[in-house]
Formats: sequence, C-alpha cells, structure tokens
Amino acid sequence: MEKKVVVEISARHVHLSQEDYKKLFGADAEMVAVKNLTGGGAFVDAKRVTLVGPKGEMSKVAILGPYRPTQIELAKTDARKLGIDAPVRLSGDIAGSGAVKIIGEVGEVDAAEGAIVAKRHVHIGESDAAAWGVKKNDVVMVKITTDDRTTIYDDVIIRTNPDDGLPPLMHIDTDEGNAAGMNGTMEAVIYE
Amino acid sequence: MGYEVKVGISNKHVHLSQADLEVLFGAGHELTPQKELGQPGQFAAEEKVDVVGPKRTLSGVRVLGPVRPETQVELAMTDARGIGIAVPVRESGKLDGTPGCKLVGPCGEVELEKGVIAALRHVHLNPQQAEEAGVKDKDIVSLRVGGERGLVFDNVLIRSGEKHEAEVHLDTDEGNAAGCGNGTIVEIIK
Repeated sequence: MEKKVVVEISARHVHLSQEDYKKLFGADAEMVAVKNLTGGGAFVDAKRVTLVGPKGEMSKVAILGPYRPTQIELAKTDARKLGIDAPVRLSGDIAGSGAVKIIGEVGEVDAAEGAIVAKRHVHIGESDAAAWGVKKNDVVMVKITTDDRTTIYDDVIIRTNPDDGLPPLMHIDTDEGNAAGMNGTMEAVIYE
Repeated sequence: MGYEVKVGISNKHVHLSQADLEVLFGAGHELTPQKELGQPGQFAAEEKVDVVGPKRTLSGVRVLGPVRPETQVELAMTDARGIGIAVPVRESGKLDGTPGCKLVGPCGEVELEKGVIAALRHVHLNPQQAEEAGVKDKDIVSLRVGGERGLVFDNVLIRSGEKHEAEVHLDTDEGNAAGCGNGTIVEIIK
C-alpha cells in the first residue's frame, strides 16, 4: 500500500490566548475568521500582528484561531532575521522557547517564551493510522518529489486525531517547502 | 558509510560582470576582497548592492568575486518571494529564461533581463576527492544530513575539477530545513 500525505506549507504565524488578544486589540475585540484552514476548526483571523526581536521586525504576521496558549511559529529564516533563538519543537511544547515582542493595534505583549520552529509532522485520523500501523509520536520519513529538489524528510512525527474525513496532512514550514522546491500544497509519500 | 563532506551555506549574493561592476561602482572599479571563501580563488568582496524586485528590495546584498562573464543573482526562494520574484532552481551559469531584477550600486543601476536563480544544490570536489567518493563531474547524487532535522537531499550536482575543494553548497532555506550550518558534516550517498 502506498501511503500518501498532502503536504501543506505553514508560513510564519501566531496563536494567541484570549487574554493576549485583548491586550493587543482591545477588551472588546474578538477573532473574526476570514479563511478556514484544513483540520481542527482552525482559521485565519482578520487581524495581523507585528513581531519584534533584537535584530529586526516582521509586520502583517497572520493570527490563527481559535484561541489557545500564545505560540509564535517561525521558519528558521524568520527567526534569524528577528534575532530570536527559536528551537525546533512540537506545537505546544514551548517551555524555555524563544522570546519575542508582539505588537497589535492597541497594545503589546512581551512573550518571554513561545517562539518555536515547528517540528515537521503528519496529522492522521485514527483509522488511517491503524491501517498504516503507526501511532502518536512515531517517526516516519516522507519523500517529496519535485523537478529539481526532491527531498526525503526524516524525523517526521505522527500526530493522531479522531477521524475527520481528511487525508493525512503533513505540515512543514517555508524553509522546508523551499528546500524541497515546492510551490504550494502537493502530495507526497511515506518513504520506507 | 558514504563519503563525508562539510557544508558551506550560501547566503544570498551577487556575481557581477566587469561591465555591470563598473556601472554600479564606477569606471575602472575592481572588487576589493574581504574574505576568502571555501573554493580556491573565490572571495566575498567589500562591495554590496541592492537587489530590487517588483514588491520589495533586498538591501546590502554581498558581491562575490572574482568577476564573471555574466551577472548572476543567487537568492533563496524565501528571499526571492519576499521581493516578488518567482525564482527557478538552476545550476550556476545556466541563466537562459531566468527572471531579471534591478541592481543598485553607489554609482548607478543595472536592469538585468535575466540572471536571478535559486542555486541547484551541489558538491565541489577536486579530482582526487571525487575519485575517493566514487563520483565524477556532473553526476547527480544524494546527501544525507543527520541531526534533529535529518533528511536526504536528492538532485545534488557534483562539480569536480582542479580548482574545487570538498564542500557541499546549500542555500539558507536548505540549511535551515536540514538544521545544518557551516561545517556540518554530511554524507554523499548514491
């Protein structure tokens, strides 16, 4: 059985707690979805933030909803430009990760930690996971085939979720997408 | 085990023809070497130019020497997208059909009709090193990178000749995706 994944490239973005969102955009501000993302009810918020690090800043950074503990996901290229030491981590594992200042329309948040480079991973429904013989936190390899930059990514973590009708989704950052010569979402295969 | 080679990460940079160098920096100008690079005779120059794309400008992009027959701008895809250029992956010097951009120097500007590329990843080897690795010029091989972002890069070009010295050249996107940097040891696999 060929095991296929759909590879999606995540550009830099932030997740915000409701408390931080209100600090940035006002006590009455609420997220407004302008675009739905695949999986888990995630969406892009109408507002944007500016990130400031010791070496530089980046404006118009997307906010992904719904609310959850504040986390800043950067490619290493972005982290270097900002001058932030952002470790490669799985989403949610932010203890001791990078510090960054977040600026919104009415206020700022000095995040003492939360800036990470997301560890590449595959979201997979439980039925597919069973069919593949994989479980949460397993490590797989994924081969992305392109004309000039075919790449086999090792150290890809399996993250399971209740069946949602979606195909297995691999999430990589812009550096990884570029290194594999990708121009947008595409299909890839588990490499065994 | 495959043959081991150290990595050199290429940040965005520009190679200039003598004619373009003189437009940008003045008649009769010669590049001022600032730092020797891994390949014999190649150097980072003191000179910097601005690379102007349709959306934005990359300021202070390093010029590498010596001068070449044709001007060439090497950007990571992240850099190219940032200034609004859709950049193809190309071997150095193969510039037909590539996009152009504007270069701005202290004495003038050059409007390039072509020459912006994302470099095809490659390995420099002198003939003896190539023989030890069991490869030859123009071979396409793979590279294994270890560590927490371990991966295998396919489509890696071997460039071998007398004026080469063992070094893998990756751009910043590739280095970041693989979690490696200057001096990281990687393995050629065939």
